[in-house]
Amino acid sequence: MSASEAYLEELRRALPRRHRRRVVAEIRGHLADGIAAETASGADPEEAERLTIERLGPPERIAAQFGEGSARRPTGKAAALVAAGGVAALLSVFAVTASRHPTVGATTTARPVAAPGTMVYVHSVPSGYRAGQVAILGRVLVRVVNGTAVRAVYVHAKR
Amino acid sequence: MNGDALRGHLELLLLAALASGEQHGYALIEWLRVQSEGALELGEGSVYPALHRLEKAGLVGSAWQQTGGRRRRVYCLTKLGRERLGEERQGWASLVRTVDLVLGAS
Repeated sequence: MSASEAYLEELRRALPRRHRRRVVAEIRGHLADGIAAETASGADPEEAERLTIERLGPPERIAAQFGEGSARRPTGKAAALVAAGGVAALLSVFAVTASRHPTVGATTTARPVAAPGTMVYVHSVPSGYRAGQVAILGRVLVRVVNGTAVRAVYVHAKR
Repeated sequence: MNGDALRGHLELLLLAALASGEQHGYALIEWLRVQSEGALELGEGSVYPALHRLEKAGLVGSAWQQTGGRRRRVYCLTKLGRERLGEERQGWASLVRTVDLVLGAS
């Protein structure tokens, strides 16, 4: 069995059943394109195959990402703040709810609901933050007033 | 820049990569590599699950295409995907402005 076939077989086994056929076919095409490109730029066929496989990453890692969270915009109060293109998740931020503005969210196109200076409450504050410091929450910029309260500097409504 | 730092943004980058026309996965990865001047070192395999997530969310469409004896899944932006890209671009710009303000102030 070639290295490519072994890779595809491992991938097939690791994938949820309903994704197998299409994803294996797709990665098969990727391998062919990658090997062709590497060969064209001077690698010998074995090296080309190795490089292409290496850059794809472990098959289990690809398979594990199927059936994971979707690109759909999250809904709900807390989720609205964690929306914003995964930015919030990237910064490992914390959940916030507004005290008087339950519609506070993080979309960028809507009108602001909370004027600068409005109080919102943070469920937990990352250890690095102290009173008076500024925390970034998704696209919501808030100023930490004490351990749990923050002052919103820039808050947008959920559409 | 490694894959972890990128993870939250891969979907946005893919929408941007599809803005100029339909592409298959391998070509998208090439495009990202060239556009980022080689700075985007992502596990290339992550692009496929991300494309599937985008498709499930209705932001991209896909179809098999046969070219030169090779079968490839080709992706394109849907109308919704194009709208989302516009929103996300604005959102990104506003995030960058905000972070810059804070970084500049400290």
